[in-house]
Amino acid sequence: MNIHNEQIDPTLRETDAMLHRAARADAGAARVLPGNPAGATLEDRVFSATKGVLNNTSPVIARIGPESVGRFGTAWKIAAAIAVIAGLGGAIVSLRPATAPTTIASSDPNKAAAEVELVLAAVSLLDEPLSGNFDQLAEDAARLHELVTTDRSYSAEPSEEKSKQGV
Amino acid sequence: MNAAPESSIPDSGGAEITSVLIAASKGDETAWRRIVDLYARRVFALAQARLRNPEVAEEIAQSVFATLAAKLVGGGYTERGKFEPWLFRIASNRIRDELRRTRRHPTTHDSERIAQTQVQEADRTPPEQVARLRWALGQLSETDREVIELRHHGQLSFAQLAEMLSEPLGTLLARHHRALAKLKGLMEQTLQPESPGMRAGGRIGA
Repeated sequence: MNIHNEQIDPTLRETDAMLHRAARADAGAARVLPGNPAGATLEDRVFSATKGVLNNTSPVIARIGPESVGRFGTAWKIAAAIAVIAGLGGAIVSLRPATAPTTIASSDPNKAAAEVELVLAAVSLLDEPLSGNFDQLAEDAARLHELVTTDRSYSAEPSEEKSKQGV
Repeated sequence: MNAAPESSIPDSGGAEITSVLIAASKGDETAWRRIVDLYARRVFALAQARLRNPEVAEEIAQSVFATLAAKLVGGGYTERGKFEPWLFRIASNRIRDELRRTRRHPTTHDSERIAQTQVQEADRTPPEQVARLRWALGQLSETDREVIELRHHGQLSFAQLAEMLSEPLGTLLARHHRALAKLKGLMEQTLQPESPGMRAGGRIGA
């Protein structure tokens, strides 16, 4: 027994000894089963029930294993299949070319102008009744067309302003 | 009931147990039998102390050794030199699981089993003393009780206990001393005529 009594307070040694006796009683409480095919003593039965595990033929593992392992196996397969499908779906969605957002600032100036005109016309038609403002609408469209088709970047504008102001 | 066999227990960090463990991991049944002989009774005693049911305690011992065998064969045991703390950690966890399970699904036969076990113990120790000790152990906190039972039933040294519970040796010694003093106080309390433990009547020994 790996107990060092010198490490126990002398006033507590009696309690300690009592615990030692109780522990021995508990150890001796194991059943003795003469005629038990697995063995009469606790050690016999533990050895009998576990020796097969050393050769992977344990009756203990075999008894509780297959059914639950099978169930877990199926559950894992279903989960894995769902994960693969979800992953593939996600990959397809992410790799698909995104539809180009409708922007007025198209790379093709002529196309952009046409789009501007179309949008303005649509907005005007939706917002206001046709009350003879076609000329104004056409004028606005022409101005925007000119703005878009002119080779002038918006980002250049502030720096031009700054240079004008001497900043 | 049979008495605990007196076998020489090699130091868990020693070369002897290491060589036995290596042999067992290679399928040597003689080596495995030696491990079972050395430790099965100690694991059983630890489970019996807490569960008060020899059948369940034996099931736990078998389950712990099945896990141990599987780990040895599968290479799951890597804590060379710290075998006993490792083994009793598995045992403690298994006992804790069983306690949780029985708290959720208490059986009607528990009180009968406790009474039966106490009659058997009374053959060796005065029944009043056994009853007082059991009651007092039941009053301790989970951590105090764990230290005491691992030391006495598991027969772990203080160094092994410190290793197992991840505590410095000094802290562990202080903890054990405190737990033992509490136990002594509780047992003396039951000797007083007006003690709550004695008044509780049926509670003693549970």
